[in-house]
Amino acid sequence: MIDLVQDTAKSYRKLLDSFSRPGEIFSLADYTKNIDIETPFFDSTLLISYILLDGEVSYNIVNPKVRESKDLISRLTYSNLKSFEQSDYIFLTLHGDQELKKEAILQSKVGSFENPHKSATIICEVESLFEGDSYIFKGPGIKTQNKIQLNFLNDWLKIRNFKNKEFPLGIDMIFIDREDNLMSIPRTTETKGCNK
Amino acid sequence: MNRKRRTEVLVKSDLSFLKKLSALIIDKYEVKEIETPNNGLVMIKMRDSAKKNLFYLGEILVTECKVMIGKVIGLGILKGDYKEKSYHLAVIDAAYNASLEEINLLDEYIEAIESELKSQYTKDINNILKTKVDFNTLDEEVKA
Repeated sequence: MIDLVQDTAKSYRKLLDSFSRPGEIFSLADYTKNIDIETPFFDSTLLISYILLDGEVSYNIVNPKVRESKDLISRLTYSNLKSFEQSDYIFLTLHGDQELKKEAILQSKVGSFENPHKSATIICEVESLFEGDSYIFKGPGIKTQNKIQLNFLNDWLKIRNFKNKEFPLGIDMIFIDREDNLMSIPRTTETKGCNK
Repeated sequence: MNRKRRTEVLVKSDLSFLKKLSALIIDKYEVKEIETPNNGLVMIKMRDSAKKNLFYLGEILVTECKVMIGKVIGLGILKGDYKEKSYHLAVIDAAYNASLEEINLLDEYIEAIESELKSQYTKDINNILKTKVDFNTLDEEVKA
C-alpha cells in the first residue's frame, strides 16, 4: 500500500527536480511499486495525482473511462473535477481521445500577468520517453541543449508554444511513460522539433 | 437511506454496532484497505450568525480510512481518534457506494438505531430544559 507521507514526499522531490532540469528523465518506479489499486491509467499518473491534488485545487482528465477515473481520483484526493478552462491540473491519459486532448490543451488556463501561476499544469501519458520523434530543448536548467524523444499528439509542440507565447503566461507540461519515467517541460524551456 | 442521514447515525453509534454491520459485508465480499486508518486535522468551516461570513472556527482531529470493494471506494471519517471505527465506517460506505444487496438490511439496522438515538436525544434535551431558570420567580417580592 502506498505510504501517503513517505512515497509522496520522495516522489514530489523527483517532480521538482524534473522541473529544475527540463528534459532530463527521472524514475518514479521506486514509489509506484507500492501502488496496489487497479486504475484505468498509469500507476505513476495516480502517484502524481496523490502529490499534486487535494481539496483546494481542481483537475480534469481525458480518458475513455472518465466516470471511473473521476470517482477514483476525487475520492482518493478530495479534489474537484472542473472544466478544461478552470482546471489547475489536466491529465491526458494514453488512450484518451486525441482531439479531446488537443481541445484540453487549447482551452487550458494560462494565468494572468498579475497571477501567472494561476495556470494549468498538463500531465501527459506517453508510450515511451526513449523513442519517438526527436526534439531539442534549450533554456534555464539545461546546460547547452537536451535531446529528447517521445510520441505525443500531432502538432503538440505548436499548440504548446502558442499557449506559451506571452511569457510569463503559459502552461507547464509533465510527461510520464509506461515504465514510470518522468520528464517535465516548464514554460521557460525553448523547444524545437527536429527529425520528424 | 441518503449518505448524510446514515453518517449522522453511524458516527454516533458504538464500535460493536459498526462491527456488526460491517461483518455483513466483510464476510461476503473482498474488502481491500487502500488507506489505513490515520489521523488528520480538519478546519471547521462555520458561518457567523451576525454578518453570515464564512470563517474557520479551529482545527479538529479526525480519523480517516479508505477501503475498496471491487472498483468502488468507501470513505470512513469521524471526529476523534477512532481507528477501528473509521475502518468499519469505510466498509459500510463502500457497500452503499457499490449498491450491494446487503444495504437493505443495513438500512433497517440503521433506522432502528436512528430512532433509539432520537429518543435518547429528546430525553437529554428534556433533562437540560428542566434546569432552565424561571426568570419570573425573581420578580416576586420577597415577603418579609
